[in-house]
Amino acid sequence: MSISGKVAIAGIGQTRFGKGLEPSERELACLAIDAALRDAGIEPGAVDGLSCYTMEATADFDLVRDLGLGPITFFGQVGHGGGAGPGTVGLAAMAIATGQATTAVAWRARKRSGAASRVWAQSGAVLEDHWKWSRPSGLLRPVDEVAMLARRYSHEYGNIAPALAQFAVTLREYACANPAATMFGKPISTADYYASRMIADPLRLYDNCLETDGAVAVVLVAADRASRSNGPPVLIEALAQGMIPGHQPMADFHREDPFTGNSSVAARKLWSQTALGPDDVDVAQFYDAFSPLPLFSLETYGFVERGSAARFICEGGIGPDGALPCNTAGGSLSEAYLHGMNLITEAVRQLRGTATTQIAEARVALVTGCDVTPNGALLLRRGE
Amino acid sequence: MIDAIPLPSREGAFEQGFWAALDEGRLAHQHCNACSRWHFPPRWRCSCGGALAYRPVSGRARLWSWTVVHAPVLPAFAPFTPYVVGIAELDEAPGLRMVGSLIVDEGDPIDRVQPDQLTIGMPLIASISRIAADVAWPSWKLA
Repeated sequence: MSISGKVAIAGIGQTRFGKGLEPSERELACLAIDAALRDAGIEPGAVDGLSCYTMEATADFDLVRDLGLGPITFFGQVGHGGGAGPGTVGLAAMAIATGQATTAVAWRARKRSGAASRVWAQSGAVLEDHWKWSRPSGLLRPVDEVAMLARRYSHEYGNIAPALAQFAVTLREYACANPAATMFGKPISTADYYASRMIADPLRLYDNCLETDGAVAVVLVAADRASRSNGPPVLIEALAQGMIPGHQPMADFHREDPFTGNSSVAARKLWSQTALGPDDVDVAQFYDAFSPLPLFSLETYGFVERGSAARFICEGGIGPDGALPCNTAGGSLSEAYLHGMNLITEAVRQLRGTATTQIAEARVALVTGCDVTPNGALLLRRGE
Repeated sequence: MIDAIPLPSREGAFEQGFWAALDEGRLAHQHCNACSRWHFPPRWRCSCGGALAYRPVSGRARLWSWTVVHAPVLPAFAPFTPYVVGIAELDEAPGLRMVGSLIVDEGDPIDRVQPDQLTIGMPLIASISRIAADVAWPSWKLA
């Protein structure tokens, strides 16, 4: 049994991305979903399935009321923040493939640009969850946790700073071609990268994602119902989730090999669900809240050998003319940080042929979730 | 002790032996009677299915990784930025690791150790002290 080819992403929508946007988070969700439905050519009343992140603040029933959706026969959520994107779309896809819904919306809306909205800054006086093992020692933020892994990785495989710089500069170049990107018109150089302030050594400001207000939505239907008016249908070829025994989110230091983690589980499952393999992927959108994460994902999903992702990036592998163009709208570092949902819409644009930096003949796209949380992946392909 | 830092709840599942040992100034971790594996953070039973019991560890470890935390941080930690945080890998088993502050002498503040004193793999020794009136926690002394 396989989901391959049964479900299409028929519509995509997004709001403006930026800081201090006027609309409420709920209104941003409405705007993005409305845009995605118009893109798909589907009336709001036809939507009968909803899928979102557990971290989504806007209630599904409010959106049903606001937008005139429903009646709804399927609603679900996927946990683990930045790891949830592919699973959220995957959950909607499974609902359609099993007949629990005919038209499903998956969305993410955030007003994240205020410093007070940072999740780590809301750390309570007494820690009940697994962060009790690290935050009392002053390891407070996700970037601190990723910095620990980045330093260890550099110790084992060589200094990754040049690759991190190249990653940040490449994504900024993609964003400078994308008028919707937060960092459109704001190029950076390698020197700018090294001049940016240290946040959690060895990670600098430009290794961190943006803090963004905005929303993104996608509409899913059975493959044979997808309109072709907005380009070739974009089909779900395979999907997978991953959670490895011994893992805990982000402060994932307690397994013998932290670099073989949730993504290795998701990758094995993903590639077992399809005849396609890494060599067939034309463009990838790796979850990139912090710049070291795509290095880990490049290796785990089988594009390069363990320990060689930095060299691949330094040699231009992720650029528009590289072997695997990545995060081609600017990603979380330079387009917008919407917990990875904007990586999914960019994959769809690449397969439709409407991306701002269009990769020629893009037929297969990979999207991944956060490498250091329970996560997942979507493999999309262009229908004929 | 630093005022107003987030503190670990001592009420978590399977943790009683961990906190009880620290209260007595010792570091202990779960050990499997059946397969001799060590575990941290605490869990119900071993991945082999065996029963777990708390057993003292040597306190000897090696520096597995470290970072230097720069602002912005929680207000309690702000006076100390930038400060080093380390991960100690205990000698008992690969993967048996704990996050903690690095120190030279007992009672050092969390910002005493400088990055140029550190090499991954260098030896560390657990030094247990109070981070709050009712919470003891290991820091790691450069050996």
